[in-house]
Amino acid sequence: MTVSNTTSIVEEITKLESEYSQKSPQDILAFALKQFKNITISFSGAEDVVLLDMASKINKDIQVFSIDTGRLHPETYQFIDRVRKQYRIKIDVIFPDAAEVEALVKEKGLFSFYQDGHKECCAIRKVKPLRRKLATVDAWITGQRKDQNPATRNSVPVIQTDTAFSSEERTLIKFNPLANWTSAQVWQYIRANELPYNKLHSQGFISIGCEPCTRAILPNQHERLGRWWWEEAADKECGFHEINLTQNNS
Amino acid sequence: MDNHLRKCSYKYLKIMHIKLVQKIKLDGNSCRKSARVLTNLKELNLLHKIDEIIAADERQQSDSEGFNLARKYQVSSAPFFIVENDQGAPKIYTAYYRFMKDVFDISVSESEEVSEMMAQNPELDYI
Repeated sequence: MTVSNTTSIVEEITKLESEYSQKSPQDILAFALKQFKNITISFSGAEDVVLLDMASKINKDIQVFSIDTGRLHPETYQFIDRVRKQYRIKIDVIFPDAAEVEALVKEKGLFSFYQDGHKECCAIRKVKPLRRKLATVDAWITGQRKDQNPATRNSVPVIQTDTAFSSEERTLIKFNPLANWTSAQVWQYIRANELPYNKLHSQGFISIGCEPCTRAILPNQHERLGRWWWEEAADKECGFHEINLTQNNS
Repeated sequence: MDNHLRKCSYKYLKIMHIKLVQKIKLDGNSCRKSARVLTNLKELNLLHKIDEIIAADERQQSDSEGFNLARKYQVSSAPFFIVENDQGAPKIYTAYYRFMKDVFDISVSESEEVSEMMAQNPELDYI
């Protein structure tokens, strides 16, 4: 099945998602790499090393990018470079706009996120460079999984139109081959295939982001409790929660 | 009701009716994002162009038109816009910056655009 013109793309993606939702990550990756010449894999320097390993076994010429926010752990930098050497791939390390970072730091200092929340800093250091990168490709691949966020368990399809980064003129396709895998499956793969992994995982870090905003978690805590733990769930106040939308159905 | 003629990049040349659905919290106040959008429209002198402001009121969920519309159009957060053309076919906008661009041909700054993108897609934080 081929992905054709823009008008029917959403329908095709819906059909493909249904077809591929039960397939293995390797099958989804193979499909993605076959369908799109201009496709890139997002590598955050954490468990998504699994994607690179799987993809490199399908195609030696994979495109990979990582976002260097300027605030990553030393272990993450070391890991990204180890992966680069071990897999003999060129990782496109992208950076935020220097002037924007400088302006933020000049105005608010180096740790504004502890008072103001993380969104402003993430927008400048991560999302804007991500947006610039994704404007240059037709599709991208992430290591997102359903079990990473218990609140949105059903909202990570294996294939989707990326509504965040698409425009009226251009539809970006996003693949999440590991969507239906659990953390246990990811780590089973890492161990079985003797993949390198970020040393922070050995120190109790599961979800790894920037150094000031990431911490190790305790046993049986959800991995996302290790990220921006000081913030309240302010964004939830505008949500239409399930209880709101299922009430008064009779 | 006046017809709204707009220069816009969107294919609708004649927008007949614009509805804004905002969320009203249990304390009677608008949710943060709804309040921000309403303030911005007022500052730009565009609030009067919104034909209806409908409440998704947490205090009256069983009678709330706003929640009914959210359910109907599968929208997960407020505020959102329902724009109907002269054929009556509605277009739903959940992204404020896209609504402003398409309907009023007003571009917001990249920072505002990215801020809204992040609010709409919280998983971006974890990329």
